Amino acid sequence: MSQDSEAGTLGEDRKAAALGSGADTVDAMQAAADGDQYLTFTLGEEEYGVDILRVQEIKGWQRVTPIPNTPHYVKGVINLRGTIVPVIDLRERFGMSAQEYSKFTVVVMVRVLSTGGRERIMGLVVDALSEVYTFQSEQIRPAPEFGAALRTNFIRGLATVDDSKMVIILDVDELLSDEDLAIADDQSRIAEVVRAAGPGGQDHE
Amino acid sequence: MRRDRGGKTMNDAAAEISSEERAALIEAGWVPPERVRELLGTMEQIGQGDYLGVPRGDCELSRGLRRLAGQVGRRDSRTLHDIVDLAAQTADSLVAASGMRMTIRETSERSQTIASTSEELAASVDTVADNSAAVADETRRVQELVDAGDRASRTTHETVQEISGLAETAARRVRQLNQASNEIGSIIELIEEIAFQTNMLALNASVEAARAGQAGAGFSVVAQEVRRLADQTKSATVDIAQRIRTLRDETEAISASVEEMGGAVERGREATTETSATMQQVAERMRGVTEHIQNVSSVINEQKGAVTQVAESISAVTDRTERNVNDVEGTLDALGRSTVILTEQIERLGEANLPKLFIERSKFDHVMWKRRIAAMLAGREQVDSRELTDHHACRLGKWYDSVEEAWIRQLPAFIELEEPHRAVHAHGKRAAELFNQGEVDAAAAELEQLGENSDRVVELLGRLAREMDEQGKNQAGRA
Repeated sequence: MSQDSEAGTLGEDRKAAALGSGADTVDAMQAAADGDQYLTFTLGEEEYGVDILRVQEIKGWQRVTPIPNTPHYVKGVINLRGTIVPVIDLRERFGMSAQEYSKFTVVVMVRVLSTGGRERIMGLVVDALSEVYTFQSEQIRPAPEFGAALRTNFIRGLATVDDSKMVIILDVDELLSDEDLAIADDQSRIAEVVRAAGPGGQDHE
Repeated sequence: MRRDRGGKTMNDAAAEISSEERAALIEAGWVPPERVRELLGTMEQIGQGDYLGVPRGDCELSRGLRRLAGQVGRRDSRTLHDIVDLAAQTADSLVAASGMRMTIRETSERSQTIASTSEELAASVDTVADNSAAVADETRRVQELVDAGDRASRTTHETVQEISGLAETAARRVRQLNQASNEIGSIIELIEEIAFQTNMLALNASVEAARAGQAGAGFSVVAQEVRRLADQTKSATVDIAQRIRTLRDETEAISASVEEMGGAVERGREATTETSATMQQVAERMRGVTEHIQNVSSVINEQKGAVTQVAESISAVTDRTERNVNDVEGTLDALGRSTVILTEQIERLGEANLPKLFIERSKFDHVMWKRRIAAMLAGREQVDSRELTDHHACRLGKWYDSVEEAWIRQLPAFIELEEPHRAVHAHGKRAAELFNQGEVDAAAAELEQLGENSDRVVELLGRLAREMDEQGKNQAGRA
């Protein structure tokens, strides 16, 4: 009985939060009109953002087919509605310690433009999804230069949320080198590997 | 008769008659007056006891008088002998009576000691009886306490059994609670997963809305709201999960406590079982103790009776002893009186001229000596050892030392006599010394030795008399 009533109260609160704040809704619509939207996710303690228009879709972690002779952060490939998509672990790509995957591990599918102007889809394994923010272009400040020794060209800039939180905006086009991306191009070779791996493939959990 | 009747006439006539006529008259049986006077003197002599000094004479009267003297003398000798014998026996009786007197005195002392000891015994038996009664009371109280303890331990045992059951129930409930919270945990997981999926779905919707540009703006807002709900659901599940974890930790702690309690209760149950058994054993033992104590009490009561009987008997013995003392004192009095009479007799006969008179008197002297020491031991006479003579100073000793006749000195009885005679005097003196020092038992032992030697002296004196008679005849024959 009490559980029911508590659930009822919670439900009321949520309804109020969802429907009651009409002003918020208007603000969001205006914000969407005025700036660019960014999908953010977390890696460890940090929050990263990507242009939402570059996001193809978000999926839960699923088993991948590993490809030999690839960098360690390339976990393998998956078949996304007929397209072979390479999946890379962003933690490992950024030199952070690897983490066990769970059913709450998320893969963000992004569209990448290579130098040749070709568009490819790529999966990014992240710890968890966070938010959708709208930033004005002037809100995003460029990342500081660390010299030629450190490759930071995949960081487009830093955005501040509520004057306290920092979101690192990524340039997904710069995340992978051409060699890495070539994997995605060599579809015939990958298809061979996928066949050799068998229908079950390999679970990379 | 004729002579008596005409005595005066004849005497008167004799003065005038001639010697022829005298001879004829004597022949005819006449006794001249001087002869009559002579015979009268002889009779006087016999009357005074001088039986041996009777003059010889060849007339019939002389012979008759001589025979008379002999007969009277022999009779007196026998009397003397008998008196000495009697005196000896009286002395023996006195010795025996004084011994009895001493024994009775000792008996009296002992029985008085027994009487006082039995009084003490009665008092201590009373104390023991009181103590055993106190012990019996105490034991009864302990018995009651033990019974109460037994009951309490039984109650405790039952209570602990109940607690054991309750602990079992509590453990079961806690297990059920654990299971329920586990189930809630899995439901929460499911909800969390749904929230995750919802969140992902909403983000995908946001992506699609963004791609739709201005047209998807409203949809984007809805998606955001859906995401917020999913977020709230997630935080709620996290909260619930946290609470469930806390609850689980708590129930686990409770479970551990209940288990511990179960162990403790089990130990308590064992302990109370043991206690109960021990209490029952104690109760059993206490019943045994009570029984023993009751036995002790009844035995002590019997003892009390026995001790009372002993005390009564002892008092009877004491009374009897008192009477015995009186009897013996009477006997001793009588013996003392008879001794006086005998002494008078001896004195009287001592004046007579009798053969072996000296021997008999010596016997008597030594018998009296023994009697005196015995009377001393009986507490009837005081004797100073210094006034007692040694064996040279007494009548027998003086005679013994002064005898000159070689034939007497060579007689075996005479030679043998010296040692027992010396011993009689020595033991007598020693007895008196010891008695005056309070050593009555040692004095009595001396008296016994004295008695033996005195008997020996008397016997030897008898033998000496006989030997002297025989030797005397031989001597006379030789002469």
